[in-house]
Amino acid sequence: MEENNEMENMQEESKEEIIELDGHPLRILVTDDSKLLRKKLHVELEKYGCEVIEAENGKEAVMKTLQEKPDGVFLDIVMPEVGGIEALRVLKEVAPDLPVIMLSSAGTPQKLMETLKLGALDFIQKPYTSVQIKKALESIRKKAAGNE
Amino acid sequence: MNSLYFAQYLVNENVLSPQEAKEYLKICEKTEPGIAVIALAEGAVSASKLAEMAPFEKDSFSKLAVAEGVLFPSQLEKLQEIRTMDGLRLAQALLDNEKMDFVELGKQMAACGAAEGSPIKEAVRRLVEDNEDLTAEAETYAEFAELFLRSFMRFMDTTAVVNFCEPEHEGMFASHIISQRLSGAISFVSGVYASDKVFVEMAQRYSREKIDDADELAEDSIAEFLNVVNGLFVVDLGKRDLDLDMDAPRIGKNKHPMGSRQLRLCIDTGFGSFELVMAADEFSLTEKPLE
Repeated sequence: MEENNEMENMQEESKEEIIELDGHPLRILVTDDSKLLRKKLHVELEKYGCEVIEAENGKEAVMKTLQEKPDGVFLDIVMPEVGGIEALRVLKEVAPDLPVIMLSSAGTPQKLMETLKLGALDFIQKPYTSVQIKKALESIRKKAAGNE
Repeated sequence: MNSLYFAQYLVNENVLSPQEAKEYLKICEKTEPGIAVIALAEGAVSASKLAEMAPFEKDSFSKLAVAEGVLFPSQLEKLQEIRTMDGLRLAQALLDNEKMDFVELGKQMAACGAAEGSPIKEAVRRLVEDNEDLTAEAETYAEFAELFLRSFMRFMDTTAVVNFCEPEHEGMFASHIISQRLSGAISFVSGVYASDKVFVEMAQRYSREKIDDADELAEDSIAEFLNVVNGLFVVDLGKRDLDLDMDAPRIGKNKHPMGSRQLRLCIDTGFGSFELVMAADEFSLTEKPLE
């Protein structure tokens, strides 16, 4: 019996708060050329009830943004074909209010400044933590809610 | 004590030969430090006191220490909570295999803690000191190697040392190399060159995924690890106003790395050896001769 209670408590503790926008789950586009990163972040975002869409490079990110209308985007910088900076520039032309979080290993002050000037909402340096992802989702929700 | 670099310190000081270090790193994979070693590293009990109490069974020390008034129960509790084991596994292995007693171990731990600078940087500097071609790159390579190994030990949950031996991997039949180029204020390329067996183990440890073969997921995992380390390096250099861009990682199978002003560091770990390769320009990857 005690063991059962303990199990229930553990399950209760592992449940994350569902982050919604006006009653529907957040639709998040994850853009990274790393399959591993996409997989890990996908699992992380699903903990918060997000619907996750994936893109492998900047070109695909722009296409999927137009087709799938995500509420927010996580965008890597160093990617083959079209990189994150170029993709951010285009995303801000086609969807100026779309919240974009840069998630990259290349977090130099120069890159931070450049992406913030281009309209990125925030910059997370890899390796990320769960707390950073949760905070980013909260910012996306807040920004997306303000846009509606 | 800076326990993370304890193994490298002992190799640098010739307390352990590179071959001995290799053996001990393997033993470390199966060793958990006892409370006596943790207490010694934390300065909670002196080496002479431990020597006086010895011999005792590793697992019975806690009870004995509290009974003899050497540790308060609250101290014991704190020591049991310590999870940063790093070099402490090595300390325990040295004791278990009678390479050192508590007095000698305490002396070496204290000396390692008091040593100035990073033992990893020191090892790299020694390796390049006679190579005039690498004089200009020596500090960059030492800095990167230190950051790489610190990250490696953290993410792969193992101890590692720069071995002073020449790379022995020329005969590797199946191997992978993942490299990444940084350009801008300086030009720098780093690469991880490993046999498929070690490559898969590294990928598995970094990704925390089950990986059986040197497949796309394994390549992706090592590429992502190198990308993270290079990112940290670029951020460090950015603080000194050195702005660098990163290229996407490159993957080569069964090829040798050949770069200008290249340094190949042999890294030993508990699960095998691999090379950290650094150069000033992108490697050309040459076909390996047939075995």
